[in-house]
Amino acid sequence: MFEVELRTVRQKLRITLPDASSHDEIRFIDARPQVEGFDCEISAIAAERSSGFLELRLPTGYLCEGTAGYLLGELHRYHMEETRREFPGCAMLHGGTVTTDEGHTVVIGAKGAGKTTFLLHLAAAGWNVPADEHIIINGAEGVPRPRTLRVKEGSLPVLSSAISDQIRSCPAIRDWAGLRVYAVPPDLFGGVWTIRSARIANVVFLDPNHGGRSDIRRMSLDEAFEIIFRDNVILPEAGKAKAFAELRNLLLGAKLWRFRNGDLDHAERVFYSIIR
Amino acid sequence: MADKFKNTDMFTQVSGCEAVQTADGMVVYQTDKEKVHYLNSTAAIVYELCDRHQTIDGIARFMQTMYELPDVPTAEVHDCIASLVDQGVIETCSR
Repeated sequence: MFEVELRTVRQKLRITLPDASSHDEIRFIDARPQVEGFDCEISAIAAERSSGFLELRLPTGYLCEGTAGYLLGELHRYHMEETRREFPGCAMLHGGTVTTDEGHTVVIGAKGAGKTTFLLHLAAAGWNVPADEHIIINGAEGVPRPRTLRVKEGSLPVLSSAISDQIRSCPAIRDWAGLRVYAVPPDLFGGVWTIRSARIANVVFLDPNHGGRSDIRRMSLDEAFEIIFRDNVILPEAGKAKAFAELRNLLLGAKLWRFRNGDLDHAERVFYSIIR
Repeated sequence: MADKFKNTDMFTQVSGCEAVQTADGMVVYQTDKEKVHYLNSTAAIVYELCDRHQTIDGIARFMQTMYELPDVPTAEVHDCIASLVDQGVIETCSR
């Protein structure tokens, strides 16, 4: 049986696929984290072949028809829409999350800052890295959006060969440039993949310093606020002022850091020094 | 430089703004322009008082009492009001 599991915070959707070829592509969205502290609604749907195309009726009633790649796109859209519906009026930060006993540390980086590579390195070292893309701001706490880490083929040479080999075994699609993007479950390396609501203890802004020295400094609230609101936040359709205010309060209660992300082993040691 | 407004001028909050207090001030969102303003705690008080039919003079005297200032901060309130008007979150109104 060809089955894929799509997971939001409050929903588990089991999708049965008709054949191996559709499963190979759509399993890119498969995610099976342990989500703690939220009720979960479980539902099942089945895709069928019809005149060479796939048909899939989502729980919302919407009928998707097309290639496996098209359905995958629709499932990603569904995942985002359901997340917004599950947390109405909440903003989402564009950043990865590392969870410890202290709470969440949100890692924000501009394109090319090495965010995903750094988070992968941490996951492989045993840290709980529940997400690399979004964290939902729910009142005074954050909830990582359940999704596998997305790793571009070009990132693999920076990682150890053992980690790269494990990543190559993960589901992959090709991006617009023809390069592979892998969907890596954070527990691939033997650690845990646990998602829970927790306070945000740290927000770390990454700057690239590829292969060089890593260092870190505290940053001001205004500096952090500006970077976040420039291009790292997704606001709800309604209640934007409330969402902004929650985010501002959350930043007031967190330690804010500017981190030059260099050599990965050294970067991990520097990172450890702030959240131990 | 001459003040932009008279001490007897009154202001009101521009309609269509959502305002929410934060621990250190206030966030005001202009829905039509999709623009967000962060007001520090002093500006937030001025913004609130603008909806209570206070003149600049009245706001300045309130601030003097609230912060136990030796002088009435008329010039500072003028600056704050001018900035809030420029940002489009308050506007002049008649009595």
